[in-house]
Amino acid sequence: MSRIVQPPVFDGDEVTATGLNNRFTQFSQAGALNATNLRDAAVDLPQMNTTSKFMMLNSAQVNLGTESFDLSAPRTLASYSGATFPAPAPVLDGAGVSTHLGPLGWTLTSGEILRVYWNLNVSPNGASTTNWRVAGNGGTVLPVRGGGTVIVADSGHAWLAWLQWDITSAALANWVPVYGQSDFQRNFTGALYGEQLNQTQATTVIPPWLDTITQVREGEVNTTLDAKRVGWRGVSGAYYYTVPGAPITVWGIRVVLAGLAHAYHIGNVNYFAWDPAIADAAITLSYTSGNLMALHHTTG
Amino acid sequence: MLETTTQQAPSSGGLETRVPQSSTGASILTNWVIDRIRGGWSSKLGYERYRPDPLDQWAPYTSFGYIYALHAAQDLSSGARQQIYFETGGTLYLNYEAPSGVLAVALRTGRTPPTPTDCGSWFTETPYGTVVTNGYERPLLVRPWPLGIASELTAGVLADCARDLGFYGAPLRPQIATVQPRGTATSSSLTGGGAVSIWNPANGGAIDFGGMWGMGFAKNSGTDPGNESLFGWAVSFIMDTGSEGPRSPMQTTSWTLAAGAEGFRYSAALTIPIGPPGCVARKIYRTDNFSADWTKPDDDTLYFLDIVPNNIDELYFDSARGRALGSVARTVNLAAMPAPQARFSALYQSCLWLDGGPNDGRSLYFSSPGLIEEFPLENVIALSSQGGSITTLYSNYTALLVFRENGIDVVRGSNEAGFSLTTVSNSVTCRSPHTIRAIPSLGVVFLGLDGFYAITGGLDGGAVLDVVPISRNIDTVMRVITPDCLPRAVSAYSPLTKEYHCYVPYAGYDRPTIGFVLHLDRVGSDGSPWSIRDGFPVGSITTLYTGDLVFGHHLGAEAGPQQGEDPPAGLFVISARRALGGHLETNGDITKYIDNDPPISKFRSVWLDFGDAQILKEVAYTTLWFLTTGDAEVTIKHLKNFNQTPVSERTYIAQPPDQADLPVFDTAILNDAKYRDMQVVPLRVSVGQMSCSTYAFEFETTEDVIFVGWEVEYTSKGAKVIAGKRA
Amino acid sequence: MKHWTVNQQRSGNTVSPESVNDEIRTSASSIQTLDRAQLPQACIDDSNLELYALHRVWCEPIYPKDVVDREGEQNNIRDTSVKSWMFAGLTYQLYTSGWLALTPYTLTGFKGGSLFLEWSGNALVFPSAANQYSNLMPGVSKYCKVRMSANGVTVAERYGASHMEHWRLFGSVFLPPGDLQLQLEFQPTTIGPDEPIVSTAPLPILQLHLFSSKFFAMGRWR
Repeated sequence: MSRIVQPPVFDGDEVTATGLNNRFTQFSQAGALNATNLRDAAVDLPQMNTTSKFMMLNSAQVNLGTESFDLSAPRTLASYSGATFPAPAPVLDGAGVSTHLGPLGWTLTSGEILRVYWNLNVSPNGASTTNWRVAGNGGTVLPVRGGGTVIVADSGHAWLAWLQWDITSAALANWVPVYGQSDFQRNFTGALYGEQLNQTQATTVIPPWLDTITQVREGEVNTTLDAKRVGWRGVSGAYYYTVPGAPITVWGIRVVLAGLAHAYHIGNVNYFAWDPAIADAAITLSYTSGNLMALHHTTG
Repeated sequence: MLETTTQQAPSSGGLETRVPQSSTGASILTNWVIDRIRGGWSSKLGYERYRPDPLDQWAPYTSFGYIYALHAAQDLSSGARQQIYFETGGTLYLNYEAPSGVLAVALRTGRTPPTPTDCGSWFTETPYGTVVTNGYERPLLVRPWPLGIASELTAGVLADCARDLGFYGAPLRPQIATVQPRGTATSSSLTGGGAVSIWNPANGGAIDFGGMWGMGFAKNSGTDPGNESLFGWAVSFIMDTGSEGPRSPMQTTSWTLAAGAEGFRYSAALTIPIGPPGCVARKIYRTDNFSADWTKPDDDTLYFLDIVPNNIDELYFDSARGRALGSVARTVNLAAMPAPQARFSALYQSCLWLDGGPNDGRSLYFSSPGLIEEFPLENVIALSSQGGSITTLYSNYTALLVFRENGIDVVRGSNEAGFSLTTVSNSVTCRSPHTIRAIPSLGVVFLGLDGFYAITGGLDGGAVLDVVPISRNIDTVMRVITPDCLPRAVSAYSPLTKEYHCYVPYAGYDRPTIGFVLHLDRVGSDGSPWSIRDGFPVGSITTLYTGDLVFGHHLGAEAGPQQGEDPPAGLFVISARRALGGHLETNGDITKYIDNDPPISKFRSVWLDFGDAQILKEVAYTTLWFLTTGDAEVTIKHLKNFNQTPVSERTYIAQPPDQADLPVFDTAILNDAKYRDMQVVPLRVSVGQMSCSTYAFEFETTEDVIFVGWEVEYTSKGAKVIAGKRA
Repeated sequence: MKHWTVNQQRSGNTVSPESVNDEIRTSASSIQTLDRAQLPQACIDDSNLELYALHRVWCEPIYPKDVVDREGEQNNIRDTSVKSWMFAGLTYQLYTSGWLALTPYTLTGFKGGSLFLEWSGNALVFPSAANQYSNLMPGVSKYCKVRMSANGVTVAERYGASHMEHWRLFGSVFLPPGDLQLQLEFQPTTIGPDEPIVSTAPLPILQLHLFSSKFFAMGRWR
């Protein structure tokens, strides 16, 4: 009810208590007013209740990793060296304690979205060019001008960073990949482990090296390659979760790292596969500090 | 018994003081409003506080004195975002109706209050906000939206709500870092000394879109350094009104390639100036290479290069090839704000018009159409000296009216076809800018030096423009105006009551004191359409979206002999409230606003000579046609022969004389009484009056009455007055 | 809207219809059209607002998604004849030039105002053949340029990944009301004059692949 509909008084009408009362009681009905009582532009900034959770339901941020602005004391993670797959390594602080968001206790339901953004200062290192240039795996064999061949790294290798969450309890003891993301532990063919690219919604790739040819001429190359470590760089990631099913409660979010994987495909399906050809613990990824932020808000 | 003769005024007219008076008018008509249903004169008027809560007392206006400027801007259609601005004590305020209560938000302090010979600030609505001018400070562009709650109204937020209109001048030149070309060695790197060496591969195959970027020569085929690359840049500001300001002077730089150098063109690094408040973008212009070594030596034509769509970035890298330059920069010479002390403004033919202000009173400046801050140098009209300085501007119908100290000019035309100026009056003028209002069926009404006038008709389509006096019959009353303070008169038109209100300084007061009200309902009838409004402390007045008239108090908290404790201050609304404002009263611990008594409404008929003042008459009855408003008492007094000592008759009430009384409030019994429309009934009053040459009657009341007309019955034996007194 | 006194009653006034009607009519009009000056502070929260009253989010956590098993990947050019240890993606055998667009997406019900767009993902670019003899100088990395536009208005564009990299592109623009056609485009560096496009195997060399693609868009109005 928002309309106050009472006929006007006419000449000759009796002055009755009921008539008067009826004309005024509608003004005082509890809860009678609704949206149709508002004229245009009636609601502006002052009318918005911005002190409570208005559109933005939750937000949180945490510093990732360890502070080492002169890069003298980074944390270092070794590449996988086993036969199957590496365990995802959470980003740790200087004391070796996990840096993550949580416990949060955010319940995500339909009509809401979780947005996660993160960044981290990283530096891949520890590899030699023999790791990079393995024909058939991470190398591409090119014809050398004047005869012969040379293997150049194909840039298909990557350290992988992705997001995990705990949607079970505040204890944060059950970290699993976020929705749409894999831990890359599936034996998808032969002896290879990894996962399809459509399960990488929260994945950020980190290039371990850069290999260029010093001269390319008429479809052929020279034999002098320019191998570069990529050095310290900031990497970032983004992830969205739009609650496709039943509500969930997010208790924790963290970034995990593992390497080295390589591009792979079977027919039309693309994968990241852990590359046994370079399973070498001497290959490492160092990182210092970064930031992890999550926003939980409505979609309309 | 002699037969009586009757003189009637079925519809009582308005105020008339010039003799001979019409037979239906009034010699005194003070504090009446036309009853909108029946057309009679109603005493049901008064004024009340803008804020209704009595416990608010005078807040937030408690300390405010004379409010000399007031304007209600409509920021959105249908009155959805009405912004009320007022000015007092040198501060322009926004009457911000925040949900936590009305706030007086200072938008701009340090403004010069008007002298008694100045009018208050002038307001003009534009699509970009309200232009505010006062003849002293720079014109302002005000648009206070969006705003949050009280605690969010920081100085920074408010600074964005009111900014100076127009450009202060041309921007500073952009500063160009020295372009340091590299030598012939591909690995050479040249830095330092503020120079930049940003190379762009000249070869199309070197990079995707290679060869697309960079300025100047790509190689120096000679053995000596040569092939000079010479470029110039200029910057202009673009405001949030879309207006572009004057361009900065050109800044140039040049470089030459080393002998045998090839393969690269270069970029320049520009430090571009930050614009004033309201600047939303910077426009950068550049020449092509105009060195003697290139094909267009000395051709420093500026071309459009780019727009930086913000007012934050200071560094701009220019890598554009000559062929990527845009069109030739406009040749129109844009000026800085040409009228930084403008007193008046108007929007006509999409152009913003400004007068030059007190020191440049005969110059009229106009902007480019649709761009209210863009003033080409040639957009100025110098007025003839005879007319005197501009006293105000008013856009109406198809013309811009330019009121001057000694006449009225009219601007017609368009920016495309050119504007022309025509003088329409050398005798009538308006020195009371705020009295000008467009009134339905009348045209543009204003207060001249000797009364009110209306500009009727037009100049197009065969129409005739005319300046018509509309207040001749109240000339006597007009003489009360304090002549030197005419500029302080204020006015407003209310479509709600169909009234044009004009409040003028009275009898030596320096500010509006008494009101003249033109009742549109009476225009065109036999009598005068005017009445007087007394007791309304209007300092400035404007019309709200609803048609209500809101006014700022003419004294407020200003110190003065009439001022008691807690004097009324702030904004008030003329309404049907039966009170002349209110006062504060303390009862226990609570001080609150209490209504004052209602205004006194007074009527005196014209001096009736019944056709011939020489013949003596005896008036027997005076009948007033009243509406039965209830138990309101009416006491008729009558006068004769211009004598000012009235004789009172019996008191009557506004009830039907020959039927049962209509039920009235406080005595009507529920379920017994009936609602009754008010009826027109005669209140016939026997008058004990000896013979007279002229006769008048009057009454005054603070109660609620509505009277429609009157009639007077008299007898005459034909006796004449004696001869005049001998000298 | 608020009103002031339209018909004040006083003792002794006739009990006329207008004495009741005027004020009731005005009060009813006022209460049925409450304006900003009549509403209390902070009276509106999410529960009072219609869906999409102030903003609307369009988001695809993985996009495009119209081909099973290739969600989040560019499907414009997919050369499966590259070596196994490589993604099936864009090769110069199948790509000539120009911008390639992911499946268009309609941002329905945009009410006019600010549109914030964000597009991110991973890309693999084969960077090794940048130093091409005929280019003279210098060697320049190859890129996967990315650009996003709404109804043809470019919102942001940049040189994106230059080898195995993650990229994120974001920007905002003011647009009028109406559905918006969102276009997410990418462009490989075009083939150079000396480019080796096959390995000695011989197999086509993957030049670019784009994956883990996702976008977020938010319109804000009023």
